[in-house]
Amino acid sequence: MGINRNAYIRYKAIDLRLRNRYRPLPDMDSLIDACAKAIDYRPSIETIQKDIKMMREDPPKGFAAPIKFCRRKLVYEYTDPDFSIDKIGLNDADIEGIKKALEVINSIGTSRVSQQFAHSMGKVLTAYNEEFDGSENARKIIQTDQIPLYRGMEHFDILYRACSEEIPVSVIHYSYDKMSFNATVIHPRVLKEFENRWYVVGFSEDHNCIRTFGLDRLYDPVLLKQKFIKINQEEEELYLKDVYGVYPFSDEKKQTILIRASSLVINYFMAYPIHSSQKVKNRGEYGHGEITFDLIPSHELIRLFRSYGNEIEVIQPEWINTEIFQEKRQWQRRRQQ
Amino acid sequence: MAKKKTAIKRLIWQKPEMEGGRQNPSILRITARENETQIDLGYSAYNIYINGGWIRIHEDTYLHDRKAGNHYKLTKAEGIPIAPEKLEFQTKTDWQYFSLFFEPLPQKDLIIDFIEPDHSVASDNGNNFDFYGIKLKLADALEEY
Repeated sequence: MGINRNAYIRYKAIDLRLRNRYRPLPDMDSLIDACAKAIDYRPSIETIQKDIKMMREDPPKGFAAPIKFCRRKLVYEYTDPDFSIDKIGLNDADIEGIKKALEVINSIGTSRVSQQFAHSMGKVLTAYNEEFDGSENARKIIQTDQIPLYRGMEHFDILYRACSEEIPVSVIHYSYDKMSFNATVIHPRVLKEFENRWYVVGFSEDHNCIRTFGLDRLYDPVLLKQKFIKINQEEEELYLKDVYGVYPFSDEKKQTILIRASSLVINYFMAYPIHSSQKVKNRGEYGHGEITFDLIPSHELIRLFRSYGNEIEVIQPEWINTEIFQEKRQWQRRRQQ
Repeated sequence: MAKKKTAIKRLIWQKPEMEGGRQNPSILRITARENETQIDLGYSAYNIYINGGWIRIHEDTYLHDRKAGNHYKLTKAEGIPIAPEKLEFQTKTDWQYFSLFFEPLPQKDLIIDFIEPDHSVASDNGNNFDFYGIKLKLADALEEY
């Protein structure tokens, strides 16, 4: 039942008004008044007529509401006095749908999503006398990467709230790279998952720009009572959409990246594109070819390219090739130390 | 007429300014609540010690209000053991985030010292966690939600 939130609030208001035993048989004006109180604006007669029509429709489109219009008195009533849209339960298909969704989420692991979600869905199914079998014996139909509960996931709920309610957060951050701690205030915008790891993206007061922080490196987030700093929409979209991974190079802009790849790599990229801008071109006789991406170069992109070894050559920009070798050399040096 | 009681705010100072003391651990954040003062610290293991060495805090550690001369005792430690127990690091690249809780500080501009008395555990050999002249100005504080 694809219902937008305002429409659903109106349906509830109409339902409540029709069930009011102390003021029975409301006319159109009374229904409009009831809706206006619920949604803070006065809907038109046409809107309410459409709402009533929709409520009368059979499920899954509507609620099969037995609404009768009395032409003589110009009033509305439920022909079944016990009817309420609140009493419309989940049907078998709804329950199966929820159970499938829960199985997907459960297979992903509740450690990767808020545990509150699992509890909430559990309650929904319990209310409908259904149980979600999360026991060890239940055969899993869907298998995804199983990752144990990891450091930082306990911050998920507080950071989710900070993002949704736009509340700045004081955090302690440990940098694996610098091997040092820092305290900063983040104005978080989104929680992002990449390769089974969760990150919070937002404006960092310390860096005075948009930044990404791995949840595993954060300690003790505390919500703050202060003005939320919003990031420029354009900058935010660029940062979130035009990056493969989570850590773009801060001094790089969106650009065309061109790689030459073996047929093996081309096949992988064609099967699993890494970005919507990906284009394969100039295929050779043996399946090799070129791939372009319009992206801001990121550490993860370089790591991905490196993982394909000699099967890939970065043509443009040239510095990425250098970076790949440098990182490899740094790692070898660190290992020798 | 009874005096109207001012609500105590939960105040936070991030990386407070100070006159001197240890660089490692570093004081990252101080939270002043009605019933306690929380100090969050971060420590990175030193590479001069075998496997990064160890850390601990002495139970006699206190905060000293320079102006009033009052002492505020350590009441609880999270993430660091109380001496003589030790947290032994596994490698020279380990780190530890920990929080120390003290008796509540008055909500006014303060300059405090963080003192871990060195007379208590001789084997700590002067490597105590001391910080001097920590400036806690109400105007610089953030407020907890």
